[in-house]
This record gives sequence, C-alpha cells and structure tokens, in this order.
Amino acid sequence: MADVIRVVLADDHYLVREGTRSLLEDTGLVDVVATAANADELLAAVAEHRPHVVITDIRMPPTHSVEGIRAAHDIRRLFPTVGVIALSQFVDGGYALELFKNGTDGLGYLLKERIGDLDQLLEALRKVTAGESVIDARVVDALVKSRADAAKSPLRQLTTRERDVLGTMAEGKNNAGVAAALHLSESAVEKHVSSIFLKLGVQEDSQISRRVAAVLTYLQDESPSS
Amino acid sequence: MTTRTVAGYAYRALVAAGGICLIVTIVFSFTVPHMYGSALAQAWAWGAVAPLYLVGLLAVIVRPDHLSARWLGAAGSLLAVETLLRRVMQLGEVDVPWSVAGTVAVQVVNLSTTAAIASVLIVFPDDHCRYPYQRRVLRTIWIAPPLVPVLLLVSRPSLYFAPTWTDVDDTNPVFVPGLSPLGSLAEIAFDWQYVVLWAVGVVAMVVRYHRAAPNARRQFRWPLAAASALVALDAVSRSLNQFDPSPVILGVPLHFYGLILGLILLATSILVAVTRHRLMGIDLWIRRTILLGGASAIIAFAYLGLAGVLGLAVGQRVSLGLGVLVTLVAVVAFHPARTRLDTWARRWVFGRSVAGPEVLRRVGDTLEDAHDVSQLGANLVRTVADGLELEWVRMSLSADGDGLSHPVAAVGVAKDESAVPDLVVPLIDAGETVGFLECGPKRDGELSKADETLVTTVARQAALAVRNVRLTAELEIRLDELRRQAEELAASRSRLVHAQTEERHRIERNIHDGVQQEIIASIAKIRLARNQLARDPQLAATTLTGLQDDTLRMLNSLRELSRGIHPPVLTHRGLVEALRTQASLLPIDVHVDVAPKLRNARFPDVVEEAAYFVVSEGLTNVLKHAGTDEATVRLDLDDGRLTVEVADRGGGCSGAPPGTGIVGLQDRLSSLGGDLQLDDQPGGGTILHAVLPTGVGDRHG
Repeated sequence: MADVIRVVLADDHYLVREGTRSLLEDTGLVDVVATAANADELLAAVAEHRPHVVITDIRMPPTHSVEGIRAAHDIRRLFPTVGVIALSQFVDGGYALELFKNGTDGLGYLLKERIGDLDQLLEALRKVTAGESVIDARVVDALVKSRADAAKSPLRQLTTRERDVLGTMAEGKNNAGVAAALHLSESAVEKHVSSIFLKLGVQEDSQISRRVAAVLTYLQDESPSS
Repeated sequence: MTTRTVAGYAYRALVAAGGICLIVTIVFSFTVPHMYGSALAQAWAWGAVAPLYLVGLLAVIVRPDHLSARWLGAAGSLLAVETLLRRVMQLGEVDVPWSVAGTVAVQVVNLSTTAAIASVLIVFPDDHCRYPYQRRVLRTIWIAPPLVPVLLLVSRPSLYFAPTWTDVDDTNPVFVPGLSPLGSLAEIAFDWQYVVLWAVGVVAMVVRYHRAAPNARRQFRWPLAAASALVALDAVSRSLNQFDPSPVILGVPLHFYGLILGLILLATSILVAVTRHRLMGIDLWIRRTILLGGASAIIAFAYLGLAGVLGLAVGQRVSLGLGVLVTLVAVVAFHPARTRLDTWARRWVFGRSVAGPEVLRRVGDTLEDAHDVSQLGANLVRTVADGLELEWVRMSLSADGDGLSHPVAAVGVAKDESAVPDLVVPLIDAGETVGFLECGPKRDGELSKADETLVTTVARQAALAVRNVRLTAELEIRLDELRRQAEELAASRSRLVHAQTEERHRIERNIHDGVQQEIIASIAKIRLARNQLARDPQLAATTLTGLQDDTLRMLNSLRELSRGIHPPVLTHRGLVEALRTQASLLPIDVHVDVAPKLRNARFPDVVEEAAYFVVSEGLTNVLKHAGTDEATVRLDLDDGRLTVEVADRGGGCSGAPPGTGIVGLQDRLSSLGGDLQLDDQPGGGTILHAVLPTGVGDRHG
C-alpha cells in the first residue's frame, strides 16, 4: 500500500470522532487531516484539505436528521474525486437508498460498528477512493428482505443461495469476492449471477460498480411505494 | 257584670226592641189609621224602616263584634223604635207630664237614629277607626241626641213637636224664659238634623275615600253615593216641606219621598257593598243564597205582578176566561225578559270572573307552551290575573342555592315594587318551596275561599312546571358540559398520545446520541487496544483503563435514562423517598416539606408517578427560568386528595403561556381526575400546584 489515505472525519459525538481518529491513525495507513462536528464544518474541511475520502455520520446537528447524506451528495457534486463513506447507526435500507439515489460511484454506506472491523473499513476506504461503491452487508440484507416481503416481488423467485449472492454482489464485491465470501466456486457464482439477473429482468453487467448500481436501482424501483 | 257585657245586653235589647217595633209598625200600618193615611205608613214601614233594620240585623248576626255592623244594627233598630214611638204618640190625647216625656223621648230617639246613621257613614266598612279624626267626629255628633232635646225644652214656651203631631198638650212646664233666644237655634238644629249630621258623615266618608287604596275605595263607593243622595234628597224634601200644603202623590206627601228613597238607596247600597265585596266576612254562600235568591224573588214577583196586573186590567172589561188567557200570554211573553233579568242578576252577584275549571284549563295550556321560567311566569301570572280578575299578580322563584325568592314575572305591578299582596301561595314541589305566587286584590270584591283554592291548585301545577322547565334547562347545561368534557377528553387523549410519541422520540434520541455513540466509541477503543496489544502492551493497558471508565460512564448514562422513563426508587421506596433522592441530585437547594402522615404513605403507581413528574417538571422549570437556587416541594394529603406543590422565590412566569411540559402534565393529571396549575406567588416567585385523587387505579386497596 503505497499512499496514505487522507481522510476528513465528521461526527458530532466527540468520543466517536476521536476514537475513530485514533484507531485509523494507529494503522499508519490513514491520515486524518481534519475532523468536523457538523455538515458545514465538513464541507469547509473538504474544500480546504481535498481528502481522498470523507467519513461522515448521518445524523448531525442542527436538525439531527440526514445532514450526512446531504453533505455526501454536495461533496460528490462539488468534489467528484472525493469519495464519501457514510457511517450510520441505521440498519434499515431507506437511508442507503437515499445516499445512492444519484449514483453509487465513490459512495459507501457502512454501519458504525464496522469501526471495530478495521480491515473491512480500510478496504471500504480504498474502494471508495477508487471510485467504487460499498454497502454494508447487513444493510443489503435488510433491503432485500424488506423488498422480498412485498407480494409479487421477483425477489421471491430467487433461491436462498441466489439471494445470498445478490446481497454479496450488492456490497460491491466482484465474482471472485462473492465466491470467497460464500465459499463457492467462481463458476457457480457466475451461474447464480446470470440466473439472478434473468429472474429480475435486469441487464447483466460485469463492471462491479455498475452492477451494484443496477441491483440497488432494481431494489429501489421495487421498493413499495407505500 | 262588666261594662262591656252590660253594653252587650243593652245592645241586644235595642236590636230586639227594633225588631218588635218594626213588626208592630207594620201591623199598625194595616190596622191603625195614620194621620196622613195608610199609604205613607206602609211606604215608611216597608221602604225606610224595614230595609235598614234588616240589613243591620243581617250584619249584626253575621259579625256581632264588627264596628260597622254594630252601628248599622243600631241605626236600623233606632229607626224602628222611633217610628213606633211616633205612631204611639198619635194614638190619642196625652197630657203633661206624659206629653213632655214622650216628646223628649221621640226627640232623643230621633236624633240618635240620625247620629247612628251618620256613624255608619263615618266608619263603614271598617272594623275600627283608622284615623283619629273618625273618633273625634263620632264623639262630636253624639253630643246632639242629648243636647238638642234639652235645649228645645228649656228655650221654648211650648213643647216642640214634629209637625205630624196633633192631639197632644203642648204645655211646657220647664220653659226658662231667659233662654228663649236659643229657641229658634235649637229648632233649626232639630229640623235640619238629618242634613247636618249626615253631611258630616258624608264628608268624613269622602275624606276617607280620598285616602283609601283603589280596591278599598270600591268597597264603599256606592254607599258613599247613596249617602250623598240621601243628604241631597232630604235637603230637597225639607225645602219642599216649607210650602203648605205639601203636595201628596199616591197618598204620600212629596217631602217624604226624599227620605224614604234615600234610606232605601243607603240600605241597598250597603247590602250590595257587603255582599259583593265580602265585607264584614259575609261569606259566599250568604251572597249566593240571600242576594241571588232575593234578586230572583224580586224579579219573579215583578214578573208575576206585571202579568197579573195586566190580566186583572183586561179581566175587568172582558170575560174571566179571556183575562186568564191574557195572563197566560203575558206570562209567556215576559218569560224571555225574566230569563234575561235572571242572567243579569246572576252575573251581578257572581261577577264576570272566569269559572275555576276554565282558569285551570288556561293554566294547563300556559304550562304546556312554556320553555323557560320567565316565559312560564309571564304566561302564568297573566292567566291568573285575568282569570280571577286580580289587580296584580307576581311570581317569585328561589334561585339555586341562595334560598331567596326573586320576582321573575309580574302583571299589573312592577316586579320589584313593594306591594302588599292579599294572598301569598307558596309554589311547593316535592316538599320543596321553589317560589311564591303573590296575588293583589280583586278588581271587584275580596278573594274568596274558592279563589284561594284555585290559586293553590294553580300554584301546585306551576311548581311542577317550574321544576320541569328547570330540569330541562339543567339537563341542557349538563349535556353541554358533557359535550365540552368529551371534546376536552378527546383533545386531552390526543395530546397524551402525542406526548407519548414525543417521549419515545426523546428516549430514542437520548439512546442514539448517548449510549449508542459511547458504545461505538468503545468499539473503536477496543479495536485500538487490540492493535496496541501486539506493539505496546503498556499503551494497550492505558487504553483499556480508559475504556473501563467509559463503560462506567455508559452505565450511569443508562441509569439516568431509565430514571427519566420511570425512576426505580419510586417503585421500591415510594414517592417521598424518590422526591428526596431527586432533590438531592439537583444543583440547587430543595426543601422537601412532607406532611407527617405521608412519611410512609404509598399510593397507586400512576398517582406516585404523576406526582413525581410534577415535581420534576416544577424543579426543571425552577432550574431553567426562576433564576434562584432555592425551591420548596410540599406534599400533603387532604380528604383523599394528594396536594403537590413546587414553589420558588424567583422571577416568576407572568404572562408566559404554559410550556409543553406543563400542558402534558395537565393532561396526565386530568386523566387521573386531578388538576395542575402554574401561578405567580404573591410576593414574587412561582408556584406549581397539583391536586391528585389518590383513589385512582388503586391496586393497594
């Protein structure tokens, strides 16, 4: 790993902010160039430091709603080279879909407890820096489940295995990654992926980021309007 | 025997003598020739003496102790005695001293009769003298009967006879020549006694009439008119008597007509006044029987007489059969007139009043139509006033609670005028007096027993109706109240639900922003420690020590949070202990003032919790707004109601609307049947005052 990833950290909770900073800097792979306690501070810091990645809380002052997501959209629009990972306490997929509503490139959505899973966090940082996207597996799971619960959803036609593959795929993994995560052969994964796209009626795409986008778009479109 | 009983016996003797004299006079009028002929004797006996005596007798029988009745009885009796005395004096030649005794006796009785009639005028129809002048006038006129005869005796050379006397020796043995100048004066006094004394009586009556109330005036309006006519007629008769000879009409000298006619008028008017106005307590049955019977008899007599006279007149010229036929035809022909007269007499006797059942029917209609008390009252008083021909009627009702009656409706009189009613009937419903019906005097006559019974019946119905109307109104109010309460309840429930949602949001935020974040930070720290463990165990140990502190802090945060949801000490140790704990945790000085009986008291959970949060809210407000570092919490129990107060001496809350916390608590308390108020304290500061029934949701019995 050649370059140190330059990060701006935003969280209104001091302990979380400082804990995360200590943890990341302790790896020696990450340089936390600035921290922010709210969205305005975050944007200012991004403008000033042009980091590789921003890690931001979703719920921050002043309204404690989705400031982090709005900031992510702003950052992606104003500074397309800066990736954004939203760290959230919300497992339900609505927030993730909100984050990805304008595209998935350079965006990641992780649950906050992933801080303890340092390798995954670093992996996510790297992917987002590279312009790819990452979604927390639990969030995808929740997303698929909630969509599958809807009657007539094509997701109901998927086998359990195919759903696992879909979820892992949505996290941003390529076929090899999926195979490793699910302990399958790559050829089996390829078959499953083809079957999934066929059943869902979605154009198959080998490019990972676009594949995630396609899956998410599908999930979003399928989301019950009610 | 006391003076009173002696006078009583003397009076009865006088009345008895009057009766005997009347009968003898009537017998004499048929048998003993009168100097002017039997026509005058009959006319005088039937026209002047009999009516006055009979009216007086009736009055004395009905009310022996009544002042007016006594004078009336005396006047009639004296007139009868005087009449007989005069007849006796005509019977033959009388010599001295009998001529002197007879003359003086006749003069005394004559003047007494005149004075008695004047006395009737002065007092009628009262039972006593209302004004001092009445007594003075009475004393003055009664000087005449003893004084004038003595004056005549001593001042004239011969006995002074009434002009009707003839064969009597008029030698006067007690003449005092020195007093002869007084003679003509005494003569004038004697000759004009009627005019003078009765005029005095009429003037006294007029004075009284002016002072009397309208209804009292009516009672002697006709007697006054008759007395005035009597004086005028007699004055005219006296004047006619100056001519010689006096013209004689139908066997009666013209100058007698005035006196006879005047006395008939007076007796009749008094009889009418007494019966019509129920004076002297002469009851309705007398009025009915005597008056109507008398009137009917007169009408029947006149009717038959008229028919008979017509028949006789015809019968003298044609055959008897034709005469009988004419009589029969006359009887038939006059029948409608008789019926008409009978109807007129009945109306005259009973007045134009609406009959009882008709009044009740109208009252019934009135009560049916009424929807509120004032309308009911207005209709009712009008119906009663019209139905019984009352001058005024007023209805008062007691307002709720104060027990006093307030006029709600009146007719013929101002509601608040202090008129004295003739009859007051309470409106009683179910044993409770809800008001009064006050009746003024009748437009004619006095209120009879039947009228009173009628008013009482009406009052009973009215009381029932008043209660119905009031119950209806009360029901309306209760319904409105219920509706209002239902709306308030719905609003309160909605606020409670919102408050609960709000509260859950607050708790979620607290957990999310607090403990969750701290746990996340701990996760980061644990991971850090893991990293450090391999490189630098000492550093990892330091990190872990910090982590332990963090975990303790998290525990405290969680405790705070759970106390906000429901303080455990409240459940385990009770309200008082929980309040003391709470007070001790605050950075200000809180005095907890608990009534001794509450030290170990426990209440239902909902009550304790509500009380606890009232104090929490109060103390929070003190912390936030009061700007003082002292507060007092007071707890007391009175009649099963828990009183909770949080007071401070700070800046107060004037004008500020209650915050959401207070409104939420108000809802919470009202759902328990309690109440919460935030007030400025006199002398500065704020007081939060809550009352809670402790029986709510009682699980502890």
